[in-house]
Amino acid sequence: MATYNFITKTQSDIFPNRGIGLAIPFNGNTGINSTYLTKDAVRANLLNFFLTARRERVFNPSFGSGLRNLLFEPLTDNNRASIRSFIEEGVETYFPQVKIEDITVGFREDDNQALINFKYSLRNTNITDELTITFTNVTTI
Amino acid sequence: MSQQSKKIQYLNKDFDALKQRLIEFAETYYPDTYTDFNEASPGLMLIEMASYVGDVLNFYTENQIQENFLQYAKQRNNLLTLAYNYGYKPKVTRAATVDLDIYQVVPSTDEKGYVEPNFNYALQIEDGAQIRDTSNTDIFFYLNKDVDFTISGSSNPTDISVYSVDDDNLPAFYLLKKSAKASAGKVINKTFDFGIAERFATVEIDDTNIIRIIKVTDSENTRWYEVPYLAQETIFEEVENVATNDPNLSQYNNTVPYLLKIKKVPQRFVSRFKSDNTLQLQFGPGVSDNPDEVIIPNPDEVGLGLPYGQDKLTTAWDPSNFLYTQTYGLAPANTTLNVEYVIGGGAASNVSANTLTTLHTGSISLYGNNLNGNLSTTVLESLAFNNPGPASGGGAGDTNEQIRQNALSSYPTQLRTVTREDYIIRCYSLPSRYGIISKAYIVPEDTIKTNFSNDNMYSNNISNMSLYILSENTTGTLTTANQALKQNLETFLSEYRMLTDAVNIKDAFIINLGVNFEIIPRPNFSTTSVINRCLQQLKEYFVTSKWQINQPILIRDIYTLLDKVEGVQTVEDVEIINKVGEGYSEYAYDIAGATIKQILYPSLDPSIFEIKYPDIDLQGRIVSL
Repeated sequence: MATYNFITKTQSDIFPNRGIGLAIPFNGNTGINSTYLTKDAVRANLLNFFLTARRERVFNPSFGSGLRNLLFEPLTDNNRASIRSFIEEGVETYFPQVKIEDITVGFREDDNQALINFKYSLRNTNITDELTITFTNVTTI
Repeated sequence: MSQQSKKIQYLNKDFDALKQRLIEFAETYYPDTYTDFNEASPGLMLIEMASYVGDVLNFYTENQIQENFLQYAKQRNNLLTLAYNYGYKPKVTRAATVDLDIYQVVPSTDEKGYVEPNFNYALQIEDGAQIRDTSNTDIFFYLNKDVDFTISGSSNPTDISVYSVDDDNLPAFYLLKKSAKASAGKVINKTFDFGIAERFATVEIDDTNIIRIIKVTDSENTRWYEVPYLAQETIFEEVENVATNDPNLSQYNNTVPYLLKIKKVPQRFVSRFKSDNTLQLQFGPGVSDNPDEVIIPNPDEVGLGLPYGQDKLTTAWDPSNFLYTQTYGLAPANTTLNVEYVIGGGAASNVSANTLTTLHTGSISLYGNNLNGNLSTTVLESLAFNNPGPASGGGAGDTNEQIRQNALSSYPTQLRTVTREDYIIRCYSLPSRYGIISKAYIVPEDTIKTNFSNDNMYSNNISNMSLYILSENTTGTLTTANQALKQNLETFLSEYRMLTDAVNIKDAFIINLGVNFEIIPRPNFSTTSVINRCLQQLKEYFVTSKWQINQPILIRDIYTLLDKVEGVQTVEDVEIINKVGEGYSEYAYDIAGATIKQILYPSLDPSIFEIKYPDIDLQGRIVSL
């Protein structure tokens, strides 16, 4: 007997011309670009969350990852665990539809860089994605 | 495709409402452009930022409205501005006043064939002489008027007694005694330099406890006068009632020592307190020494047709001349203004009796010339001061709420006393240099007893009124006003009362009370804490500033008040007792007789209830079920 694995296709993706959210980083002529796929929208939201510091958002002080606060900490295993914990805690609170597949936190001590690689999938969909953020003098994504 | 008309709602004001409305707006009008309203989405971040800006703008809009109305304004600088606009001049401190006895000895003389005081040795003390409190070196009082021992009249008598006798048992020295009024405060001088004339120039005095400005003079010793507003070009000036000033009226100078005259004053200024209690002086815009008639046309001079009259119909007038008139007073230019003002006051200035005995500074001179040096020294050294009664009327300045209430009350009176409320607010508006009225209450004397020869009649003359007042002492408890304060009030009210009104100023009665209460506390509550909370509530309830003359006490309210205190299960009993004598009021009061249906009524003669010593007059007890 065959086994069926039911995957829900998000409604937004059924209408590819319908805008969902805004893309990050802001660039282009207007600075604002729409996202048209759930995958892109979730990615933009995650970036927005990771790059926002706690108490930065008006009237919503608990929003934000607080990762930037760890940048001036020593590059130790304890801090590596803290970063992972920060990400897991934030994603669990603000992104209930996101399932964390893997988190890798790497340090390049010579270049004073912290590199975070975050693999995730969206529950009940077949959407998977990967996000890499490099914290240095200039944060890149 | 035609532009879709978008419906905008204007009822949203705060962040949450604006955010919700913007989300609904996006859902309604941009369903294909933006649909992600997740908290983490960058789009919602922008919506929240727009909502934040909207919230801030709404706050400022409402704040502007609020601060424009005296009833709602919160910021002190706005309250002050509005109060001045309403004609009320706030006070930053209140000075106590006191009656001073001033003594000196004079040698005797027998030049006329009999022994009498030699008034050539009488002293003349200029107003402003400062007398210091012996116990508190920071407290100063200054004489409100000149004291001249050579003058004696019914309104300003000099008591004369024999001080010492010689070997022949004849008077060698006489003791002269006069009474004078003094106000608390220290006289300060500050100078301000002015160069080129500046229109509506302002200067600031940075003291924060200024009672009043005594006088402002410029380099040429010309006096600049304070006026309520710059457009007022005349002031009342008091001049001594002597023959040189008025040969006809000087015959009455025993009863009328000063005459009130109107004087036109181009040199004038206004003063206003700022929010930090410093004082700002503002001068007028006029920069011309010429009379206004010389620089602007005067319609009164046109069409008279008199020979040698000025019509100036053919004169070409510079329109800018109107900017230089003295309508709002002159601007000081190329001069130095010396501002003499008084600082001090406060509750600490309500000094006890017999404490103002030390002369600090003053301008004192002997009346006669070519006097004996030794005798002059003896006379000058004999000068002594004393205050037989305590000073009263000193207190703190207006709080924000007092400024609001006083300004609201003073505005409807329009500087006239017509209604009861007018009189009461006018009492409270007594300038601080004349003392402070803590409580005022006025009732018409509808049963005035008139003394006819044959029978006693009662008239219903509504124009006669009794004004009951009370002042306060150093500790802030109520006390009767002294004679100096009453006289100041009488003079002050005479400026505003209606022609047909007659006001009798009387002391209100003070009835001191104590409150004993019994409560049952809730289980698991500290009895001490519960009692302390009850006492604190009662202290706040009975604080003197909240009570007025003739206000009854609703005993049921005290039960309710105590019942609401945390930890109180039941209020078993509240007993109000009368405290009389030994530090309390001298008037006993029948509490039981005056209590009807749980309401303690004051006496028919206007009186006020007061808890004089809350720490000992309020007592609570824990009782068990």
